Parts: sequence; C-alpha cells; structure tokens
Amino acid sequence: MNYLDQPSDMNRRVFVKGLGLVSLGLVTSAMFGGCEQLIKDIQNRPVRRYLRTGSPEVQHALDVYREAVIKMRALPDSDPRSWNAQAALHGTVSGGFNLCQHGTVHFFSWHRAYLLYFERICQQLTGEKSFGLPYWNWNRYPAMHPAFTAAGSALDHPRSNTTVGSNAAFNDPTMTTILSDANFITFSSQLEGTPHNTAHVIIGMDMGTGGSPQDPIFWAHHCMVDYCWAKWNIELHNDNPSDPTWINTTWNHFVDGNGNPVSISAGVTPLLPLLSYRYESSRVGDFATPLDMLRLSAQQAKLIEARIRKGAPVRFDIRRRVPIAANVTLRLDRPVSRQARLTTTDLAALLESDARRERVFLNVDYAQQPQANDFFVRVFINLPDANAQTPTSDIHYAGSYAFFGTQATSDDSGDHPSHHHKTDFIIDVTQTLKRLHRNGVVRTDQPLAVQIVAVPAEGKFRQPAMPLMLKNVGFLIAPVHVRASDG
Amino acid sequence: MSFPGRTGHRIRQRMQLLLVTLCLHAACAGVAAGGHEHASCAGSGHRLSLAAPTLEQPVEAASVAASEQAFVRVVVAGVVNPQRIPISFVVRFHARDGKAGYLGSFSLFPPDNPGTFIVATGGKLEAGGRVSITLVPLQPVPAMQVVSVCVGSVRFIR
Repeated sequence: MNYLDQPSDMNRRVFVKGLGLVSLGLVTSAMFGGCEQLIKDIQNRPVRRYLRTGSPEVQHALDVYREAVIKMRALPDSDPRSWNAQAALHGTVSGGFNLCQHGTVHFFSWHRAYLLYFERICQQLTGEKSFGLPYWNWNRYPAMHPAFTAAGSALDHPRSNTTVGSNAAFNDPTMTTILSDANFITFSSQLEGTPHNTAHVIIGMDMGTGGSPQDPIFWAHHCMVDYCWAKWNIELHNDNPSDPTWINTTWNHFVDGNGNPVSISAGVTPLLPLLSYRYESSRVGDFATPLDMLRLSAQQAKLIEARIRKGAPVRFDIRRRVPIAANVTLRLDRPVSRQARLTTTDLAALLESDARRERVFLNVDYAQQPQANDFFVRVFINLPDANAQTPTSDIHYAGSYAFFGTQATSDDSGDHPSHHHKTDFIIDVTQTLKRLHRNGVVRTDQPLAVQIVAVPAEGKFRQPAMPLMLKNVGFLIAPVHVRASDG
Repeated sequence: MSFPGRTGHRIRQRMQLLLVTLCLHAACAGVAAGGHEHASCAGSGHRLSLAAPTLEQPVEAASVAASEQAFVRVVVAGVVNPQRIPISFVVRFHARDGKAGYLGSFSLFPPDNPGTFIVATGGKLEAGGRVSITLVPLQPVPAMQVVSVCVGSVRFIR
C-alpha cells in the first residue's frame, strides 16, 4: 500500500451528504445526453495552449489575456473580479496565504477551480468567450514567453528571474519521475514541492509570496501545473481519489464572470478539462502526447469520463470525536477561545510518528449562514491572544476558511444544489499540533484550546457586532487510507 | 586627529555620543538578529544553515529492502529566513563505494514556509549508503543574511 502521511493545512468543507455526487452526475449527464446547447458548448470549449512564439492562436490568447489583466486592474477592489480581489483569494504579498490549498490533497483541485473562474472572468470582461488561459510549459521552454517581459506591458511584472534556467526541478528526468507516479497523493506532493514551488521562488518577488497571483505569470505557471494533472489523469490513465470526503469538499468563495458567487466541489474538478476547457497537449519529460485532447472522439471522451468518475480507492474514516463546544454565539470582532478535554499526551502516538495514518481535524459547524461574508476565519491552536492581526506564519496557525453565501442568498436559493451554502468546515490541524508538540510549545498535560478568529477581508468589518452562531466545535480523529489505482 | 580648545572638546563629546549611539544600534541589531538566528530545532531535529548546509541520513538494513523505499520524505519543521531568500534542497544518495547520485530536489514556497516534502528514490537506495539533504540558495546571498532550517525528520517510505 502506498501511503503518504503528508502534512496538511487542508481546509475541508463537509458537503451535504451525497450532493457532490449529485452535482457530478448532473454535469456528466449533461455531457452525453442532455441539452444540445450544452453539448455544443462542451464541444467548443476554450482551448488552453502552450506558450510559444510563432503561433497566431497563442498570440491571440496573449492579446486577450493582456486586455483582461488591464480590465481587472481597472476594477475597484470591492469588485470580487478585480485583480486584487482575485489575488487576495490566494493570499497577499505581506500576509501570506489566505484560502489557497498548499501541502494538502486539494492542491490540484482548489487551484483548478481558481483558474477556471479566473478564466471565466477574463472571458466576460473581454467578451472573448473562447478565451483559454495559455500555459507555460517550463519543462520545454525554461524562459518565459517574451510577452511577459515586454517593458510596459500589462503582463510584465517585477521579478528576480524570467527563466527557470537549467534547474533540475524542471528537467526531463525529474518530470518523467513525477508523472510516472501512479499514486495521486505522492504525485501531487512531488509536483507541488519540486517544479511548482521552485518556479515560484526562482521567479521571486511577488511570485515568491502568498500574493503571487499579482504577477500575471502566476496564472500561466499554475495552468502548467493543471496541465500536468490533466496529462497524468487523462493522457496517462492515472486515477484521482474516489473518497467521498475528497470528492465532496466544496468551495464557495469563487465568483463567476459576472461576479456572482459560485459553488464547486473537488469531485467536479477532474471533469473540467473534459467539460469546460481542453488542453493543447505538449510534451513533458519523456511523455509526448499520447492522446490529442483537442481531437477526442465521443467514444474516447465517454471512456475517459467513466474512468475519471470511478477514481482510485481512498478511504477516510472518523474514529473518534472530541467535542469542544456547542451552541456558542460570538461577535464577529471578538475572537473566541474554547478548550477541549484533550492533551497532546492523548495524541502522543499520533504526533510523534510520521508513519501513522491518523490525522486530527477540527470541525466547526455553524448554526446558520452569517448575514455578511466580508471576512475570513482563521483557526489557531493554543494561542489565547490570537486576533485578526495574528499572522498566518504564527506557529499556532492551523488554517482558514470563508463563507461566500449569506443568509439572504441561501434563503433565496430554493432547492437548487449549486446554491446550498454549507456551514460545516473541517480543518486538518495535525501538522500544527505536531509543530507545537515537537517544539515544546504546548505542555503535554496542557488541554488543547482552539481560537476562532474572524479577519476582515478588506481592512474592517462592515458589521463588527454581527453574531456568528456556532452549533458544534470538536476534534475528529480519522485515518486516511490511500491505495494506488487497482486498474 | 586632534582638535584644540573648547571646539575640540565639543567635537570629541559629539563623536563620543555618536560612537555610543552607533554601538547601541549595533548591540540592539545584534540582539535582534541573535533572537532570530536559528530555526527552533528541539528534539531530534537537525539544523541546516548556509554555513552547514548538509545533513546525512544512513540507509540502514531494515525489514524492507532499501531499494523498495519509493520516497525520501523530509519534514521541514522550522525556517528562519527573514529576507525570504529563495531556497531549495537537493537530495542525493551516496553508495558505500562513494559514488553519489542525484535523487531530486524541492523548494519552500514561500521561502520561509515549512512543510513536508517527498523526493522519489527511483529504487536507487542501498543499505549501507547515505542520503544527503543539502540546503541550496537559489540566488546569491548577501553577506550577514541568515537562513536557518530545522529538518524535523528524514525517512524512507514505500
């Protein structure tokens, strides 16, 4: 059994039971038998091409992208489609990460959803519905496309380097090794830690920070990461997790081209290259283009869709629950701290071993959607003074989440699945606990406490006295089992 | 250099004051830098720095053949990198006969963000050899800059 007990600041949202699979079913049935217009849209979905010079299609995509960047930068920050608002979903230059997923099993899925809705915003603002984000295949083209370095261009940006050079993180042996790994989790971890992270820090300046989406090359870089996942999954026939927890993890903090909130589950993201866009294949490492994704027949697409839906066997079992609080009402501008009847001694075997499968999750379940959503929520462990100014780099920081819907949008939504706004959040706190334990920050007999801190998204809360009603807060201890595909 | 009379006395006084101020600044800066000089590395962790960038982990004969270990897993438990100098870690295997082979690399993003990383072994590990992890800055590091990393553990996993 291949298993990686990798670290995870994984922020998971518990979806309504079965809803993820329902939405998956809706999307896929539309693909092969639903409305004709939908089928037409899918057949004509945007093409994401690899960046190179001499291609009129690539040049056109770059022209549209440049125009989109200019238009997004011209929008006020209060518009969720603006350049700054989109970047802030990921993080900020000085404040680190916000809602993005790094070092978690949702590294691929979260960024795929992020790219999709960014692409939709570009399409809407430019009127180019066929626009597909171009991707920077750093394995074949170590230097950025000249469009990103032209002085005065909206695509230019202050950087330490404009090429990944000859760094081995991007070369053929490395990429071949990574793409040869059939296990989703170890494949994801290698791709993230090696070429993904290395490109960020080699390019440097904003790209080396949580605010990396401020640099237009971010989107072409992550599009390449996304292409690698699509290539691994679709072209090379490897499988994603089939675990309901992975599939049903849902994010509500993205917006569509018109700035309206959308909901997307991780389980839908593997289908996006088949439904919402398609990649122009390119060689990565020793892997050429075994399958031309621009010319898939209906039969090929159907077989791929069936395999992607099946996924690989992964299990997530909750073995133990430790309640912390129930029915607590707090003010948005006042952090709350609650203690659990649990110490690191109780978790010693888990915290002192890198080989154990168990992880510790914090489950925060709200009684209802808040009336406003202009804030993130950060979670800290054993930091009684945690407040909105406490940085995410603090050793006690465990993760964050956000609401996108509000009571009003939920009440208006009827029964349409895409408008259900979830109020359950799950945060993997295992690595935070391990750090605190290993560094002696928490005494072994000290009860574990949780701090829930609302942080204004734009400097201050619009309704600081707004009540947040917590229904239940508790720790969940659960092993995660992952097996490589059994075919 | 000497200055005669009262003028000289005043100048000497001012220079002494300036010197004291400069010394105080230097002392404070030293304290500040000292406070962040090393990544906290309690327990079994191993500290890497620009001056001592490499750690080695022996590959011992275990119940599972070394060649079957698919990954080297490195837990970066703490990082002090106030200037956020881009850093990478190169992982190599050194066989008993002294031959070394490159296994892979990983980077921290942002450059002061700890995490757990894996590098594929490609079946190259052999019992009796060593795996080395070397901290490599990805750009020239100005003098006096501090980069300190605590590697919590290095393990071989299937």
